[in-house]
Amino acid sequence: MTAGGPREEQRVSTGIPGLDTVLCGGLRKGRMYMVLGLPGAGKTILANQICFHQAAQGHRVLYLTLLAESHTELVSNLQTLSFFDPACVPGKISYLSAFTILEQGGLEALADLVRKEIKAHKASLLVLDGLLAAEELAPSRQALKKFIHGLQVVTGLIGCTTVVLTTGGTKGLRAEHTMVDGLLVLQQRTFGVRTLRELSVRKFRGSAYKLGQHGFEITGDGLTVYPRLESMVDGNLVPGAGKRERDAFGVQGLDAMLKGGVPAGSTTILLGPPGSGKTLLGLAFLAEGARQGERGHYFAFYDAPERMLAQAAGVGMHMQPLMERGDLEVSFRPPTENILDKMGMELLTTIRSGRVRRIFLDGYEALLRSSTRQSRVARFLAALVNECRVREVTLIYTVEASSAFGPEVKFPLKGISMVAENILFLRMVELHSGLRRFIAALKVRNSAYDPALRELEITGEGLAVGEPFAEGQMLMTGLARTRTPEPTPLPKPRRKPRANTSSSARATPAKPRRNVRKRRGS
Amino acid sequence: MGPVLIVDDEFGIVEAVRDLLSDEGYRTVTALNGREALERMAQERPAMVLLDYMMPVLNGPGVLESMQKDPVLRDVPVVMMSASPPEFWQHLPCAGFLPKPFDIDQLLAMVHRIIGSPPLPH
Repeated sequence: MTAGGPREEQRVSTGIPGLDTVLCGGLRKGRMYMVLGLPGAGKTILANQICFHQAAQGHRVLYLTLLAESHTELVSNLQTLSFFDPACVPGKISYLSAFTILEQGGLEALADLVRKEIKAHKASLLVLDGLLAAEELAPSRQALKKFIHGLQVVTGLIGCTTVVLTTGGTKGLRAEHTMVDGLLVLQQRTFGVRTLRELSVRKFRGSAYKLGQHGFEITGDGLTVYPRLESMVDGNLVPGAGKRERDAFGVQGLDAMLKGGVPAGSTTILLGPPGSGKTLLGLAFLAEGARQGERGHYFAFYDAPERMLAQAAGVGMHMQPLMERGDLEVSFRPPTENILDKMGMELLTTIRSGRVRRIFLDGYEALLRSSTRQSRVARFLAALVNECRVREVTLIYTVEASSAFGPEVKFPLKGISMVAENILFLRMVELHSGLRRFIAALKVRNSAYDPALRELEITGEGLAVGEPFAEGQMLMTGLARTRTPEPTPLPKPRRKPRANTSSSARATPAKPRRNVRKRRGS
Repeated sequence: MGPVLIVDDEFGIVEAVRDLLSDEGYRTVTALNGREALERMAQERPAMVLLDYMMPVLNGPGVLESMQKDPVLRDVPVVMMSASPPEFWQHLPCAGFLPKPFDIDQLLAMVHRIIGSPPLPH
């Protein structure tokens, strides 16, 4: 008696940065996948990138086109991409056209050809480019379904992973979509004048995968997929007991206000208008970390490293030596057309690297501009906050207040408890015909703090937080008043209350009251 | 040498295995359920049977039972194919077992071992 053992589950790496993460390990060997996308979505590049990666691993690949275009054109277009290795063609990757066979012999002839060529080339990966041609030539949808099913079984038996590229049915679900083992959709979405590429996995049999829309870009290196940050963070992880309790700013007076600093692994918002000192405070936090032997990372959107160095040096903070020693990392990306998921991956990589203990992100508005769906930013930040908490990385980010002066202070983001544990509020205030800065802790989670409004001084010697403002009040409104008592106005003579009116009615209403019926006889 | 009889209610598997064995040079016949399989065997004694366990009309064990009772078919080697856990079917009097999903190399190795190489083409 002979017994065959159950076939081991094997994964086929795509070699596309980020895609194996989305697919929780890559494609499953011997399975059939369909890649849907309109022309220009990146299907051919995606498929070829997988082909060259597999060829580099020593595997053989068969690329069958059902399109009328020549392979010469296809290959010459690929030559501009860094993954293209001419040594692989035709030794490891065979490009064949099945267009004529399909046209002359129909689906049965195509199925026959595919089976025989896979075996002849000993291919472990098959790409079928242009299923639309087969759809058009199929006598019925049933015949097409039968062809796909037959192909699926044959390639499954041979152990050849199959990637089918098609433009069809990106919106509606078709029968053949339900038959394949996985469905990847590539889309270009336009938001205003901006177009973003997104990849989503609609189904992926027999394996977990990352749900949702994942941003991707196509560069000279081919596709790079940026898995959605929210899908990458495990919200169930509980932070361990860290060694550090507080992370100080190194700013005289501020650390005393915060009873030694912000809790390690927490996230803090520096909320304030432009010019209130947010960036300098964040840099001071990183500089203090470096002094304590904790490496920091500055994610900048507005100030290039040179400008940041000059700005910090102007207030007595010399960051250059910290960068040279490697205690401070700086990454700068101008706030133009960033991809939120790309930034998310960079942040996540930095947080998970284990080498960085403090991160300063300057600022929130750049994230907001990078996101095509503004409602998403809060969830993105919540995931980031959670990851920082778990990894005990202290995060500080700046948020620009909506107004520099005036009584109204709006939080520019909703669900603030979800996206920060601590809030430090900075503001300019006019007092005695001069502008002064102050800082206040609005919230420090699970921790005592001094709630006084204290002056923040920025000089050539550095930053310092002084005593509470003794001479002013209503500073939070931005329209401070001195504490000198004002003369009490004389009480106005009270009029005799009219008949049929309550005693609490105002004698001189500020505004004429609406809906008051005229009294009779008036 | 008689043909290899492929019995499975999934037409895709039947057709794929038929084509792959034909490519290797084996003669094949197919059936989509147990009763059809017995009809084919009545027409021509196969060299071996690739038999699915779960099928409509008459399942794999039912076919096996009928073959055991038939002196002509009793000695025909049967390879049982199933996605069910082995404890359900490994007690059956078969020449081999193929847990699904299997690959063609496993299948060919089993066919080679049981009936040898395909006859040379005339």
